[in-house]
Amino acid sequence: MNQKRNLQGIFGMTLLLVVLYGCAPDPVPTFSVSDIYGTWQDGTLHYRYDRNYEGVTWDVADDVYESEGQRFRWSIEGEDMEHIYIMEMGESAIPKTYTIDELTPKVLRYHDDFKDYEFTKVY
Amino acid sequence: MKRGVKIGLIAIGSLLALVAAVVSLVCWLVFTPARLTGIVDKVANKYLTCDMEVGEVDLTLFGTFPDVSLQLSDVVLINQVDSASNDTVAAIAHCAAVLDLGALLHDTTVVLRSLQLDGGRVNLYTTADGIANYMVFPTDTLTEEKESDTIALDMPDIDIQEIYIHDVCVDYQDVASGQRAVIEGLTAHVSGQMVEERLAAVLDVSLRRAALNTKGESVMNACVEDVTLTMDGALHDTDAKVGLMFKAACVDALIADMEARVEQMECTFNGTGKDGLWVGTTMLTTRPVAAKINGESPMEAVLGGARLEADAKLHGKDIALSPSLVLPSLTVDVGGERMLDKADIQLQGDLLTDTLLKSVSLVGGLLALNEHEITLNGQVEMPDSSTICADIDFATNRWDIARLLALVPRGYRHLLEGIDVSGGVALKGKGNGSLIGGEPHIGNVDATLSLDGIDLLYDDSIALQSHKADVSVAYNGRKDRVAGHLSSDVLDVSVKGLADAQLHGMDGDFTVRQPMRIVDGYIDATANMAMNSLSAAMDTLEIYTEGAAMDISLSGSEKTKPQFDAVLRLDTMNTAMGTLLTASTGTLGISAQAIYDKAADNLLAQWNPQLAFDVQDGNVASSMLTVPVAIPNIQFDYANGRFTINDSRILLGNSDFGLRGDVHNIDSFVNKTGLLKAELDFSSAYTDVSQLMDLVSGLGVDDTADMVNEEAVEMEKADDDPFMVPLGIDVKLNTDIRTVNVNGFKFDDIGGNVSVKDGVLVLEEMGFTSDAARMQLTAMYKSPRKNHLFVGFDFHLLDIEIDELIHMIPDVDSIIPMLSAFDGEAEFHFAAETYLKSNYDIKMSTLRAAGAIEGKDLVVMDSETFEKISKYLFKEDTPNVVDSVSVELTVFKDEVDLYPFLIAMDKYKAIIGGRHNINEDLDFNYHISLASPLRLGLDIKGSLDDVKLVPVPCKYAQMYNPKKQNAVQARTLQLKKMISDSLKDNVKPQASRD
Repeated sequence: MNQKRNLQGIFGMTLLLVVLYGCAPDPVPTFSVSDIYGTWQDGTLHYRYDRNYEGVTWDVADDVYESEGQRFRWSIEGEDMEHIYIMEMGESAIPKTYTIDELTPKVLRYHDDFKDYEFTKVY
Repeated sequence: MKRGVKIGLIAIGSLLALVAAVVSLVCWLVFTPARLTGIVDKVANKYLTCDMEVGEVDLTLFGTFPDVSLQLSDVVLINQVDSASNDTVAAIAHCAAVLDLGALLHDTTVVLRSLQLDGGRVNLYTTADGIANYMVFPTDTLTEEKESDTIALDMPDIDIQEIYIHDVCVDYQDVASGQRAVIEGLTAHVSGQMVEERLAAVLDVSLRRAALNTKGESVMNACVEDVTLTMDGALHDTDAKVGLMFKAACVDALIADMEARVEQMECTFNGTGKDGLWVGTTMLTTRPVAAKINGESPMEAVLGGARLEADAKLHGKDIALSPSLVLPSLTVDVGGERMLDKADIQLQGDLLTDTLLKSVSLVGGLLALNEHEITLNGQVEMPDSSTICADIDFATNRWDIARLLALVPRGYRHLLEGIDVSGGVALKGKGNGSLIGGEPHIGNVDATLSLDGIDLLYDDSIALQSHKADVSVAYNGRKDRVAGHLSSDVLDVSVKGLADAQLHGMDGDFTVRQPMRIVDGYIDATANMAMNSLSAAMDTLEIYTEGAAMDISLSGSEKTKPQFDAVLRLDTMNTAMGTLLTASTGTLGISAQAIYDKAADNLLAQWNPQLAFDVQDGNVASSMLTVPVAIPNIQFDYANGRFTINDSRILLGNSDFGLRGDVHNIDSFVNKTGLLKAELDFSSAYTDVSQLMDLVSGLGVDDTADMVNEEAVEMEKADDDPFMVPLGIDVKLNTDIRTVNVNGFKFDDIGGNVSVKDGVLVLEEMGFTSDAARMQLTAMYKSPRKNHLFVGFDFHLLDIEIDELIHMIPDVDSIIPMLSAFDGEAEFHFAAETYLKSNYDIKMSTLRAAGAIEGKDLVVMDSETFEKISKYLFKEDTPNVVDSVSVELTVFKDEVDLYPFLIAMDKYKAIIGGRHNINEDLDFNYHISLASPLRLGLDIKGSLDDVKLVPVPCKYAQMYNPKKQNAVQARTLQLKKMISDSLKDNVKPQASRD
């Protein structure tokens, strides 16, 4: 009986913690979105974020250069950053959603459920 | 002799001697020189208005008996007129007149038998007022005194039988006309006799020099030296005979700007007449003749001599004339330019006409310049004064073209510069026409130009040889049409460094109507040409044809636009371009039509040609093509800059297809200002796509174009030879293919569009079936550079066998690893794009894709495994299938995001989602939530070699429970539906092929 009460207590506490955590306010971003404008590099991989919320990505390791880069649209909502890659043929869009960990004039770090990403600004 | 006779003769002789002595005594006593001089003076004063002086007068009887001769010496006639520099009209050293003594004694009339003038000078002068110093006979006085009959001695009756003039000079000057003539050393002997209707006359004239000068507007100076003129004639009844010979050592003439000099001129004429038939023969010969015309265009001609012979007959009204003129060694210079150099000219012919000149016939006419001869035969008629009709046959002998061109003056040889030609040419023909009221009217003209042994070299670059060729032209004036015929046995044409051609057996006809209207821009003509064979070579290009026939017509009028029509037919044609290309055809037909519209902008638009081609049994082989091309037939048109293929069948390697449709914008493509555009229906029983792509790969691609930078060049592998989409063309193929082979995979019933537009290849809504599935594909392929190739496709596999899918597209197994766990039919919708390397490896950083797979009743595992576990997990008789699977996924670079999907089997329901990476380890991070009958969560992580199973809470337990799913799960399902719907929306209804 005691065991049953203990389990009910643990369950209740856990539920309380979950509820409390779910009701906590969203964290306030500590970075400036404007810092993302420019070209970022991770090894041979490059991303360029333009002020019109468009961008280009290329990887010179694949013999692709900036003029040949693939275009995407980007947006930042709180800590959430979304890239939408529009396929050249057809209307299909490939969405990628990330959570920004750090955005400074020189460093950009973000992650998704499976991977962490880190870039340094080139110019 | 008897004594009596002897005495009689002596008596008669004595009597005659006595009479003679008495007459001599009387003459000596009565007709003394002094008395005769007085008589002469008295007579002269009576019959002459001028003064006359006579040195001495003598009378001779015995020398001229029975006539009497009056001898006068130093006879001078003096008649001074104004402005004359000399008052002497005539001064004769010795003058003798033979008088009829009988008439003088019995009838007291003076009958002059002969007159002789020996030595002296005659000055004839006419003043500007027309007063002549030689008008010394007072004709009025004579008449009056005749009438009064008071004169004892009348004017002498002139019955001159002989006139003899020796060494007399005559000077004639007419101030009014500005003429002056001088004759020096004139000797003449004129005699005539008429006995019983027989008339005979002889004239011998010679002079040392004669000159004629005129002044004023037409200046003329002429001089002739050492002239001899002999004439004799006889007339009896109807018979007549005339002879004439004229010789002159030298004739000089200067008329205005023209000078001429003839040496040793000799002319003879002999004529006879009998019973109305007059026959004459004339011959004129000269030694060197020189003529010169001064002025702005001076001309000088020198002739080695001249010979003119002419026979003439006059019978009644009929006249026959046979002249022959030979002008040897004629040299003509015009303006310092030698036009003829020692050329021999000959003219001859027989002319038949009448005294009315109504008709002239020419027989055996010959006009020759050196060895170049033209023979002429014909007739000219003049029915009235305003009409001339002519009918002429003409023919030349064989003219050596090189020698003919040698006659071209040096100043004009620049027109022939670079032309080296040899061979022969001959012209033969006939024609008729008329000149009515000054208007020419051409009747019929037939002419044939024959060429033989022609060897022409132009500018050391174009050569032409012809063994024999004939060109005939016939003009029909009534129909206003020119018809012609052209034939040639062998014609070799060569353009140095460019082309050689040999034409065998050319034969053709042509007609031209209304030729005079060509100048107005209109022409009406037809031509038909046939040729046994033609072989031509241009650089490495060789062409051989057999059985060529061509029809050409030109037409037009003021009401209709000028139009050109042509039809060309070839029995066979073979071409070769070195080892690069060979092509042959069976019958080849080309028809062309062009209508002129002068309002158009450019020449091509003005004529706007329309062509139609019909090719049978064509074959093409090229070293650039790994397979031969056979064209059993193709018919296509060209009009308005557009090719229209009406029908065709082409066997290209393994492929057998037909094309129909349009190809246009050729001008822009050729000028590199636009794309070559085409829209064609491509129907085929079998098409080997791989082979075709190899054939057209790289067309129009510049190896140096569009290189991004040097690094890009370095990264391309020289050995790779990817398919490069042709540039500069915009081609759309509407395909209807029974079977297609792509890299060994065969697809049936392919329908859809294939387009190539300036380096972009698009397969649009291609529908086809294979052993694995019904398929629909829209794909794009671009090749901006060899190591940067774009491929994108929207691919729908309907009713696909999953194992065939994986076999067909092995990369699918990498993207969706669990797919290989299923077996059965599914629908596969997939849109992807990526750039490829030159070896077709995917550039993973550029990979983008979205996919949806739906399947029902899929076999999950093999039967043996299922039987082992089914007794523990499933109900009895549970089939080895899942009810349904609906998978949506996206691919970004090497990240494959698998959206959570539900698998239902028996009482079990599981939801799977996660990510795996397309890399060497194929590492993954998936989560499986077992939603029924238990709720269990399991993360599957790691790689294929190191799989980690981690029990975790269920992440997706409520995802497919709309009432309990959270916002993230709801959004996830929305994304799944959006991906699926967007892909399925691209599936087009596919027409079935029956």
